[in-house]
Amino acid sequence: MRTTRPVRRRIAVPTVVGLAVVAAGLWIGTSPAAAAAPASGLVCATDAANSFSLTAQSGYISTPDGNQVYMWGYGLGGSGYQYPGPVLCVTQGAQLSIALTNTLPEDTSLVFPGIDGVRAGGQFSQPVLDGTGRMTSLAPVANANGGSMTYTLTADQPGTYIYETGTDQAKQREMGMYGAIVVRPSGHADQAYADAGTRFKPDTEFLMMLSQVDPAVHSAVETGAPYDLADNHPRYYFTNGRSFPDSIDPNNAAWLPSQPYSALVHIVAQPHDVVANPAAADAFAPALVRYVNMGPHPYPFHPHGNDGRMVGRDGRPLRRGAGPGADQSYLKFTVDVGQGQTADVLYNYTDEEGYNPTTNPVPVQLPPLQDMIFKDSATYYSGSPYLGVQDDMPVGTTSFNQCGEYYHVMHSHDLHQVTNYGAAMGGMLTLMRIDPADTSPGAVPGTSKAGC
Amino acid sequence: MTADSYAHEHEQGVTMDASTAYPPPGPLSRRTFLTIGGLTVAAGAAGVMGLRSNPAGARNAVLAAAPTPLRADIYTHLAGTDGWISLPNKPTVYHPDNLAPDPCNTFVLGFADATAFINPATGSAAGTAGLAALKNHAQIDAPLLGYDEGKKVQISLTNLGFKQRPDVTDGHTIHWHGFKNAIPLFDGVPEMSVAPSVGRTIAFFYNLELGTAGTYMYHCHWEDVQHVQLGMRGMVYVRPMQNTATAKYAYNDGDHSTQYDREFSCLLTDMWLRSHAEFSHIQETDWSDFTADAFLLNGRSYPDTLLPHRAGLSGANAARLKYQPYGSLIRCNSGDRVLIRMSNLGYTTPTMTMDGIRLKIVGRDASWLRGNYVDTHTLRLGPGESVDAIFTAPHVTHRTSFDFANRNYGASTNGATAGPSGQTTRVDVYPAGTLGAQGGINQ
Repeated sequence: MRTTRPVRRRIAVPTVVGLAVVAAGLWIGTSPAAAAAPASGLVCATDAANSFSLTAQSGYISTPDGNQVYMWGYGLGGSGYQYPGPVLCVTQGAQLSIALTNTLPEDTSLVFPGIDGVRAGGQFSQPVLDGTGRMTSLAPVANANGGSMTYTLTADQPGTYIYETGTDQAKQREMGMYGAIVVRPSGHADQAYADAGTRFKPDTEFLMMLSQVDPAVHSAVETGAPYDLADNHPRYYFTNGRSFPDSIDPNNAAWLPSQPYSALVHIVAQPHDVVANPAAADAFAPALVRYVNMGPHPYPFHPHGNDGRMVGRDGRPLRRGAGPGADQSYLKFTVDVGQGQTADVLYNYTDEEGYNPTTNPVPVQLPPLQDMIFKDSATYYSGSPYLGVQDDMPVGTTSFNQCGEYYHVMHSHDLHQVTNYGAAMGGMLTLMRIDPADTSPGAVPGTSKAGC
Repeated sequence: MTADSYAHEHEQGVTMDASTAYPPPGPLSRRTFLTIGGLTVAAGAAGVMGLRSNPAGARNAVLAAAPTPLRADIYTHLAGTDGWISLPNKPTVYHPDNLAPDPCNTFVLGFADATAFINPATGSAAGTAGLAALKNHAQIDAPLLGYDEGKKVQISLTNLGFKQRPDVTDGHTIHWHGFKNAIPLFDGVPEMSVAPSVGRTIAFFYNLELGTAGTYMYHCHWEDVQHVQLGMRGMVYVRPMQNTATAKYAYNDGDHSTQYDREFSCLLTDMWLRSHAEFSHIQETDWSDFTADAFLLNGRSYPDTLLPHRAGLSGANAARLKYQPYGSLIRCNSGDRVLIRMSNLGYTTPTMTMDGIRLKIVGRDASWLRGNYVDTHTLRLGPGESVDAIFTAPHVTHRTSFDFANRNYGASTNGATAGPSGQTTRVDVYPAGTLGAQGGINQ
């Protein structure tokens, strides 16, 4: 077994990495680290035999306000705790084998909502009953303190799926015991489904796992104190297991040792004239964002900038070939992801108006610098409204902008979830970074401008 | 109230519709628009603003000082400020707010409509006495904005500051929620763009190209969890190019399947009254404690939802609802096709049900559901979602009413009083021919 990542064209790390936030929402910029890992994009665990081993264990995650939260979850083999669990990537038709080893002090198990025919220990996986007929687990367990159980299943349909605990779910899912499974259509690793209309640009595939924790429950579980799960009071909300601004830090950031997955969505803007240039349009195939909701509430997730096209839900395509009724995909500006649901959304951004400083200026007068206010004296704005252009900022205001790239937020529109323990701006929010395209002679279409 | 008296009250033109705002819509014909492609602004417009970056790429802080020629077809001007409104009392330490001026009881932040004060030479109301007088007079909901596809729209925003909290120097922005391919400058997220400080003005520009028709919402994005919750939220919608003088459509459908005779707007919001009182009383709010405890339809709670728009109010109601201008009573004739434009800017997920009338969902999130219409009696919207639904009013021989309310009846009580409240209104269907043609949305 090994961990692989998609090949990325960029080695530059966005300057937006390495931010810290305190509870009051004050931003403190630090120098960008020259991390070697690809900054963003789906990180897959793969295995030639589709055989994975997960270790159920405890660990800690950190939140941007300096808090630490005790968690339960999974590590890949012996590689230590991570939140969320490893993303298991396979190709349609694969026979998955997942060996679960349990180091927790209570029984646990795995269930795979949306995937049929799961076997546990070689037998059909089904709920476990005690002597009185009361259900004790949704699936055969790996016993507490060292037990194991192997689950096998066939990934017969492409799409985005979940795995999660099937035992004492109210508690164990609150504690963080879940992860994603990505099944790719055979022969088409660059499509979400068999339909060509679900094609995406391979280096722009992203996970957007939405979740939350109530740290009081976690603390009680750690210390053995009593707690009431019916009185759940979440304080932290996550994309890919991180709260903003940690959410935009790169994959495998050293300062987030158990939260490996970046939630930054990093794409290149389609030039405004791309429709007149089909060859270039091919290089600007949309990004794929795989949404997964592992929380107990629906999360109305709102990507700014443009609509996304919903092409799949719960592991089934909304586009199936040609003909009347074959295309049931639709555009959304708020992606409604219900509890336990997944959604596959294609997204791109076109520099529609093609504004530029010389021949097509923005049709409004900007306020002079002294009339602008920048929240907490820090911004992702470049100083210029034009894509690929940087300009001066007021003295004392820090810009995290690198090359005139655009940033749009994407966040839960249940806005109290866009906070870290009640303090804005944080929580279930991440950024979309939109680079200007390299339009210099000989440039590879669809790549970022030099310096980005 | 008779049909005639209600109609008369609505003839005052209280529902702000920006297409009638100054300056009047330009003469851009559909043909002209299609000629230029409907996709991109024709390049080469006079480059008066091109002073912010020189060809050498060196940083240049020179600011455009030349007057900006009017570029938009339609100008709207809003003011961001604080204010007071009236909701059903929910007696707690937080409500009614003991600082509220009679007859109000709830502190809000919000937008006020300054379009009437726009200077025709600049397209902006900035600097006018009428604009300054709007401080502490925010309205809930924010002005209802409707535009025609094919137009270019400028919405200017002046930050008037807060009378109740002069210590708070927050910025404000307008985020047109759902606008496609927005550039950050016009998307209104202050961390990704700019915001005007207190006393200053900023302009947002929207080119309503073919394909933008539908129902949206807008709100401030500065400290959004607070500014949106406290009331800086409104509805904006775009009428399709397919419309003619005699036929109105929700979308450019090509088959008349979204045609309607009357249209009504429903903006769903909720309020956590504690957070309102905490801000007026200079207290911090822990937003992870959020609990909605008042539910609003177009900025009012039932039974105020059934009262006329502001210009039709009189006596105590006129004083109490002075800053809540929008009623929600839906009135139509048998056989009318009625379009409901609904958006949700609360933090909860209501399911509105229209008992006794089937609804056809033709659009979601300002996107036409071509070939995939939904036949239902409920409209469920998460925060930040919109829906366009059309019903055909049933045959009646005398005025007949239908309930239109949040299925979560706990959200329809406001807690303090018995019987329905909150997100509840009514559909009144009259015999065919009773009501005259609708003059505009919500009339």
